[in-house]
Amino acid sequence: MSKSEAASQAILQEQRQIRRERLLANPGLIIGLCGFVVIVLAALIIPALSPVDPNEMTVSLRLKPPSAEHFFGTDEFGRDLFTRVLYGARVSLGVGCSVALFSCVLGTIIGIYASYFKILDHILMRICDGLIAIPGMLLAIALMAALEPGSWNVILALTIVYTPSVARVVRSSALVARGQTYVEAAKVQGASSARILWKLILPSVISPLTVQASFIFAQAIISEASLSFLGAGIPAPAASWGNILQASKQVLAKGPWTMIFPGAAVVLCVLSLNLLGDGLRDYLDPRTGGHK
Amino acid sequence: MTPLLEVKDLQKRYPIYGPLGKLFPPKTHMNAVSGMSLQLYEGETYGLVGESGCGKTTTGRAIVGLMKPDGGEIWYQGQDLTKLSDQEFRPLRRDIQMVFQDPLSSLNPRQRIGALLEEPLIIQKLGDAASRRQQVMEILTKVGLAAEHYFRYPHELSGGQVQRLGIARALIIRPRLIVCDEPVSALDVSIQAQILNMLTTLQREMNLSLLFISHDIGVVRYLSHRIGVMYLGTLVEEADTASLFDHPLHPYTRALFSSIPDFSPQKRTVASLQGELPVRTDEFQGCVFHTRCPHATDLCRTTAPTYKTVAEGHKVACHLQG
Repeated sequence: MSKSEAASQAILQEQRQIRRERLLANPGLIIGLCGFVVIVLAALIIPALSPVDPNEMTVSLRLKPPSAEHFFGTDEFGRDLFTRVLYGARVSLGVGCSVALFSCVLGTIIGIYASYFKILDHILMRICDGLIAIPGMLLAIALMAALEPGSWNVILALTIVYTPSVARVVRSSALVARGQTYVEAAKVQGASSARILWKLILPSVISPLTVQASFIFAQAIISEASLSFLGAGIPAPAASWGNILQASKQVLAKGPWTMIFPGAAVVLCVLSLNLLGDGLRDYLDPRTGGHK
Repeated sequence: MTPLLEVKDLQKRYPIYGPLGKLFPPKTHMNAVSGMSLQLYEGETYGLVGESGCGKTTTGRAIVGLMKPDGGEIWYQGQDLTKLSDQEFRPLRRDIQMVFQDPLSSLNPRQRIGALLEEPLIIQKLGDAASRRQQVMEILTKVGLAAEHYFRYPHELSGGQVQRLGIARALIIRPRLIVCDEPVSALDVSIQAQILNMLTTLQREMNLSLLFISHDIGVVRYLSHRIGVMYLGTLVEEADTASLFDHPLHPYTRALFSSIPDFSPQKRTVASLQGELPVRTDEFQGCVFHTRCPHATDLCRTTAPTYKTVAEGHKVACHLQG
């Protein structure tokens, strides 16, 4: 047995080597990942260490341009913009992450069951079609109008918006997996539907799902910012990228930095996530030379 | 002797819709399998031959329960398999296994070979971890693979080895019947012979019944005790191997035999059948073979021949016989 274990170790080593090479041949993935990690770490660590209160107003410091004391300047109430952008990052990343997580879990359950049971497929997919037919932003605003403002309700609304697209992606991958002979073989062996669904079909939808999750993360950040900007998102005193941008609208001519920095934060975050998603797709897709 | 498995009047049809699709009821049906009956006895190899699209794979899939037929019965141990629910079928799955045409795609690419072979035992709840491992090792040697393959992935094996693995996976729960759907057609000839020899050895050792589905009459002849010739969804002739090759009665069987390559210089051309396999719609009349049969009469075009026994164990469906 030790000989065969040594052989299988060698194979694993080789596979790791191939993976490392493919990772290095994919700069978008690395840049996206690094950018995203930097943003996450900054949002987590700096507010925890810095004593500055994001909501503390100092009238004498209204609309100060960026300086050594206030890296991003101050807003019209004299609040430190750097701190507010970082606190906003916590909100935006939290919303984005929760939406990506919840819509992926829900969408996977819906998609996998829809792919396997025909009657469920008809019902679930028609509901999804209906939800997809409504423009995402409009649906989000309508849902927020019906719900109370607040971050959990933003998460709920955006999860409802993004779940159908996840369900579609999962369903189509699961349908492909379902037609595989090894799924039929499992049936001949007497495997239960649950075993087939979760042990054979789920692993084959993981890679498209990962890619989809990173895009939804990015889109949810934009949507949350848009909702907050429109006043339908997270209520005002709390820092969120949308709120900061909304406030900056009033003083844009006098203090353009109040828009540039939170705007740049949104762009950088979304760009990193999109690069990450694109990179992941290239990395995981077997058709671009991947390992099955 | 009662058969181990008996297929009676099996039917599978697919609807053909008019230009407006499913808005209206189907215009007619394509009968992939119709009036198909066969008996499989314990310990025998039954060869099912026919050209592509004749319904032999559909028959095999119905037996292992991968496809619900539209009519007919499949009797196994006093139970009609077509009437069973998935739950009721599950214990019987232990007895009836399948070997697939494309072995690699029939194996989960994410599992190592050891886990792959253990899977049927886990599903059927047979033995504990240690005894399962023991059984996996036994079956690996039995099909000519080595213990060192235990941690490999199926795609790391050669084509012949993968089919050995496919057979091992079917055998590990000690079934009584295996449906082999073209198990060697994806392999080259020298490997085919190895796999076929292994199958016959294992069959004798384990007293297996094999339903061997193939389009290759040479392979079927080598392996089978009895042969059924299938055409357009039904059996046209059935006999034990020797008498079928000595006296092929049905014109289709004869045409099929003439398709075996003969490399003597005088006979470079073979008398091949003209035309394509027709579609057997609900309106199809007469003998299934009449559109391509060189001896077809008006009777053949209007009335289907009965499937009659012409000699001990030799049945044929042809107006010109018996």
